[in-house]
Amino acid sequence: MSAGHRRYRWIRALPYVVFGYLLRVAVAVVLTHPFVSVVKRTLGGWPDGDRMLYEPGALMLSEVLRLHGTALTGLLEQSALASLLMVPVGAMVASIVLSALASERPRDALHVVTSALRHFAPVAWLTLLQLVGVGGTLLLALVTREGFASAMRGTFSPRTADIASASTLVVGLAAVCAIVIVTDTARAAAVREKLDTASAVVHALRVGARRPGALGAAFAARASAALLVLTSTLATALHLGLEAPLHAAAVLTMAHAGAFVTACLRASWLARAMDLATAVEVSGAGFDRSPRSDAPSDPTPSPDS
Amino acid sequence: MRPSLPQLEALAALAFLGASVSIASSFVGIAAPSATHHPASEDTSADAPAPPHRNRATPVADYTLDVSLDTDQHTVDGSGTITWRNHSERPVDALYLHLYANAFRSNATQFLSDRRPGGRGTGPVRDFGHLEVKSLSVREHGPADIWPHAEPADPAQPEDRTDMRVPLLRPVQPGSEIRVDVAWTTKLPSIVERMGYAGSFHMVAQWFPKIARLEPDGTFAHFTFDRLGEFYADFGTYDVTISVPAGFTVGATGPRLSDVKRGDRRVVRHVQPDVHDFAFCAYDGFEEKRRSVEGVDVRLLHPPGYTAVAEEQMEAVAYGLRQLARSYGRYPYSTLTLVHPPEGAGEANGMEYPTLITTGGRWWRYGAFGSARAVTLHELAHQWFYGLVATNEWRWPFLDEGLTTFAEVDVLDEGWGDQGALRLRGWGVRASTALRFVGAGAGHDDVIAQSAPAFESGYSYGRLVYARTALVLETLDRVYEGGMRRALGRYARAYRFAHPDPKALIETVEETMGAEAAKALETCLYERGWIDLAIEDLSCAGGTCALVVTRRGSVVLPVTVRWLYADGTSTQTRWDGRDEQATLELETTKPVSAALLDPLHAVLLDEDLANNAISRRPAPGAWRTRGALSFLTATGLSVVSP
Repeated sequence: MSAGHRRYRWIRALPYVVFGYLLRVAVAVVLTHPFVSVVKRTLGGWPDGDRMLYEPGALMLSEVLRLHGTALTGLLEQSALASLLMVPVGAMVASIVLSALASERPRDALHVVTSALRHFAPVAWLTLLQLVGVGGTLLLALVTREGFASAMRGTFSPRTADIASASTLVVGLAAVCAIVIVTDTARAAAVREKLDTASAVVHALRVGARRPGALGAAFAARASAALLVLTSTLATALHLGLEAPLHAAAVLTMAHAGAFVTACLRASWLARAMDLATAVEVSGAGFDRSPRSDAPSDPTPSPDS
Repeated sequence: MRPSLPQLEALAALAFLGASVSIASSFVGIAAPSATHHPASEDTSADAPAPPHRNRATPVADYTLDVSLDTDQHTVDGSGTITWRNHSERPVDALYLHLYANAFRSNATQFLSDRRPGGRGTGPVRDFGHLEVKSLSVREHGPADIWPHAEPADPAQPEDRTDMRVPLLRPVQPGSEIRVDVAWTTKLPSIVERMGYAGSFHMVAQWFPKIARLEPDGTFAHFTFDRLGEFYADFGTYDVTISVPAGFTVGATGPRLSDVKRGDRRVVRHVQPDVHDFAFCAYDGFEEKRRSVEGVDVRLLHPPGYTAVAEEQMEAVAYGLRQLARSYGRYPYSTLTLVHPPEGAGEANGMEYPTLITTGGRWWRYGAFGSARAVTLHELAHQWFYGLVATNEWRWPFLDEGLTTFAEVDVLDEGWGDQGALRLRGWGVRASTALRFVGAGAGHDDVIAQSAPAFESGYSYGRLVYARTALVLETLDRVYEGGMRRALGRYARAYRFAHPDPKALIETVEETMGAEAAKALETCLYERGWIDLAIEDLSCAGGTCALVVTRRGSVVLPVTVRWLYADGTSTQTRWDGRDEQATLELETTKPVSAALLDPLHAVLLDEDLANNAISRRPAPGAWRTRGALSFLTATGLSVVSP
């Protein structure tokens, strides 16, 4: 496969990305239905319905929150707990997407799903590892920032202390990115190279050590693109508002389109991680299979192709 | 040479990140007011029938004081003369003195033993404070020091020396004047309840022996310092000379007449007539901003790193001074000092003194967050309701806090529109929305018009005295189309440099807005008044539509009814709101699709806005909410699922 061809390999997994995205939206619709129901019933007598929630000044929004805040908080807790059930589902979807990326027969859905099931265990463990790692790192960063800021306050102004201590958040964010990069690469390697969890992690670390620039740049480009999509969506939503039907329809369409784009960016990143994971020898023979160029050399043909 | 893929990706990452930061940065920035005119400026009815406001106060207690602040020991040594006049109808044989700082003398005082939850001053006092009078004599009665005969005014609280009765050697006849020479030392506590020190910051408030207000009937309005209560005193001139260490900046009531260096000390003199209190602060870390607004010298002192929030507060003051003057009469003083206490001195935040206010808040709380401008405008509005209209804050706390909160929200709504409380680019939360959120459900808690000690908690005090009162006033203002603003404008002018009680306010409301409005106000203030308007049913037959409406609660207010036709047009009628249930009829040939009670939400006091409408069509689906929430949730789920 040529380098250019390989660059767009993630498109092979597009149907499964669409499936994963639609599944997320479907689950989101189910999880958020109680909130929507509360809003609909509260404002049911008003001809404008939930349009009133988005009027400038937020009077009716605050009224719904004031009248039903306790109930909505309970529903929020329930939804948060229910969303934990998406963890194994998400791991399965990830396994499917990765299997599609690794397979030479991505259109053969049965083949892809079978492969996904075979690799589900390491992908699931790595997904869990990623969640725990990210969560723990963020918590540690927040706690460290507090301590840092408190220590600095005696000597520096609060503003200086807060800004300087934000460096711990930057470090924390970098650590989070590193964890995501390593675990995603490990997941890709687990599927592509048929590794168990531990071997996949070791391999991912080796890839990170051998190709840090390529791995980092690949992740950074896609993550920052996703960030741009999200901030643009938020800015547009705030600018246009959801009050006028046309604006609301435009904003929501843009939002969901943007969310789908970020899903594609994620798939693109996984494909790139898989390519880089493949480029480094699994057995630890110590040599890089590819020249240090922008494109890895042809991967070793897998038994699946 | 062609760049490699990682190089291209790295460049792309930088570009995307830069664009994201650029978009995100458009969310921050100072929020300056957008309106430049005030409808009240076109409304002269507040001026025309109201008596012209007094330009000067009748002086009762003039204080000429000389004080020295020791920033290491946190003490204030003071001496001076109080020229006091008996302006009542009866002879006075004893003086009552407020020694507020004695509230922090020990845990046995009423203040520190107060177990009610909520409100200021609930934290432990690390370093106690007190106010010790060393000597007190009345020149006209001879040189004898009469302080040894002073005793706590409340025999039931012998440990509390915040309210002291000092018997005089001879009565002071009505119309007579005495000169009281006094010397004292105040030990400032670690900062608590608006005064004290935090590091090198010293907020010196309620720091001198203050004679209690003498009412016209000859009784003194004296009281033990309550944790939820504030202050009350007579007008006079304050001529105060303050000595501080040389490196300290002083912010004080009134204009500065002199500022000299004497050795390692800095000595400033401030003189301000027509006020009833004097406060000052000293800190060696202030930066300063200055601006002239409508002839008032505005000085803002803030810690380093607070430049942006200070700038926003200055914008708020500049706008507020103009708007409040139009509504309630000219700001009569030549100076206004704003003090933003440093971090760690939060107990000094958000307080008003004549011509000096403290604001406060984190260095980053500006722009999107409305708290900086809200606290600034609130304390500024206090210059009228408390400063000029000097009500008894201990007895009737709502009379200054509630009116001030109304004035604050009014200015925020005018100047910052739908984004007074929260501002996020094109969307925001209106200040009156935030007010309603806090005050709407509080009507059943307790009576508003009662003294500070009577409240069961700081929480109910805050919700009722501030938010609920302001919400009542805002509601009446909307229902009677600006009537409350006109009424308060007349009240503020009529009682400038005076000490009115709630009766004066209600009478003014009745004169301006009518008996029904006054009755509604009285019900809300004295009887836990509340209201919930609701629509029960809508039916149409034979050219007549009947709307069954309900008014729950004790407050009676007229209400607009909007009838919506199926063709998109509408018509409005009026319901007087007197009956608790009524059937309103509309003769019409066009099919009616819906009916709305109070469509413009004038009755902000309404406990439930959701039941103010009825539609004969199926309820519209909440597609906006479904779309928005599903997007947000799906994005959140992307953490676990690609």
